[in-house]
Amino acid sequence: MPQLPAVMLARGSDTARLRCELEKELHDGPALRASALAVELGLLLDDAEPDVRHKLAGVQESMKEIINDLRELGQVLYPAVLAGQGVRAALRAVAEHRGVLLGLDVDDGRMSSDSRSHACLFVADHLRAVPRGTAVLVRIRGSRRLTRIQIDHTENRQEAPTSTRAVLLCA
Amino acid sequence: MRVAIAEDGALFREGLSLLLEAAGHEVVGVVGGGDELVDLVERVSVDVAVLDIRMPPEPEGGLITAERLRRKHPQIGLLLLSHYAETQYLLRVLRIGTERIGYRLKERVAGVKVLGDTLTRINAGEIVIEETLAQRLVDAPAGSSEDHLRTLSDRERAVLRLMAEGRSNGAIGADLHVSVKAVEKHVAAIFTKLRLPGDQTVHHRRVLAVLAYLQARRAQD
Repeated sequence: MPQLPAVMLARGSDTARLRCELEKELHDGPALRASALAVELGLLLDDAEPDVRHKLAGVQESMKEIINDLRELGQVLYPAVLAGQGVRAALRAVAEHRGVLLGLDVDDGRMSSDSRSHACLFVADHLRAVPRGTAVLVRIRGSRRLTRIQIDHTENRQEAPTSTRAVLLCA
Repeated sequence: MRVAIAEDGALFREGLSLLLEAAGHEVVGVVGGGDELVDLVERVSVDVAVLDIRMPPEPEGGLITAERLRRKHPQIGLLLLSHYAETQYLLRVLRIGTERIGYRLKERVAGVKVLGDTLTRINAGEIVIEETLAQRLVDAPAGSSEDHLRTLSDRERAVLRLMAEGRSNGAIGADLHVSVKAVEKHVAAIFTKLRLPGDQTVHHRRVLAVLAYLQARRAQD
């Protein structure tokens, strides 16, 4: 299992903005074009002769796998639900995708939108570093100037949880 | 069937329109956003509206528009399409309605038959959910702490639930109208019943108790 550091260094909140833009470009560009291509293949399949139909169906299945890969890549870059539904929903989505059991204690009422994204991505990246089935407890406390994050996780409840803390400075 | 499409991606929008026509449906309008769709259904009769979840008004214009349409025109079927397979979106769709509604991945309706079947089921009053989403909920990892949790009293369970929400003993006491001493007693009983090791700090045991609670809850979901 990858070891988490006891104290984590924060990245700049401009990284969160960049990741958001990259995910949007991925969605609006390659992912959407691939979906359009899958639809076009679907139209061709409807009129195709049986032997061609078989080949086209194979190509369409490959296209669906590519789209799925793009979806997973986008999820790593920036959780889709973060912009519309906030930090809690986004972290629950990441935990679900990763098969992690998540407890959340979030007080982000005084945090800016950038700080929320920054904190969310910070925790999301660590949720991806623990094995499936791990239970993780996340505590986020934010003010206008800084965000304090504590992450406790354990794979075996008979052992002491691994605890990590971070302080993110707001831009 | 009379179908309206709202999708901001031009290529996908055109392909979807051709697919619907090939499936024998009448495309009565094709627009690039939610506000335009709301205007459209005021002017023309629509059986089913197909909406992209992520379109204007950003960020989740499809969901907002679906809510507006369901309030104003409950007879119109709604098919929400997305690149994203998210349980959070599914829960929001279920809040909009559980009849004449669907949530599917874009590439999974890329066929005349599958798209036709999806629309027919929605128009008949059914709910159509993407299979991978349903599967993900079923595959949630199971915990191993249910048996120990069953030994907790109702009051201890209430204390543990509040601990999982990050409350302090003082806040738990205020919420349950008991003293901090009483809460501490319940917490100690929880530690014992969950068989948490005694050589840990109170903080560690508290975290372990909450983690055990979360595992069991997830297993029950």
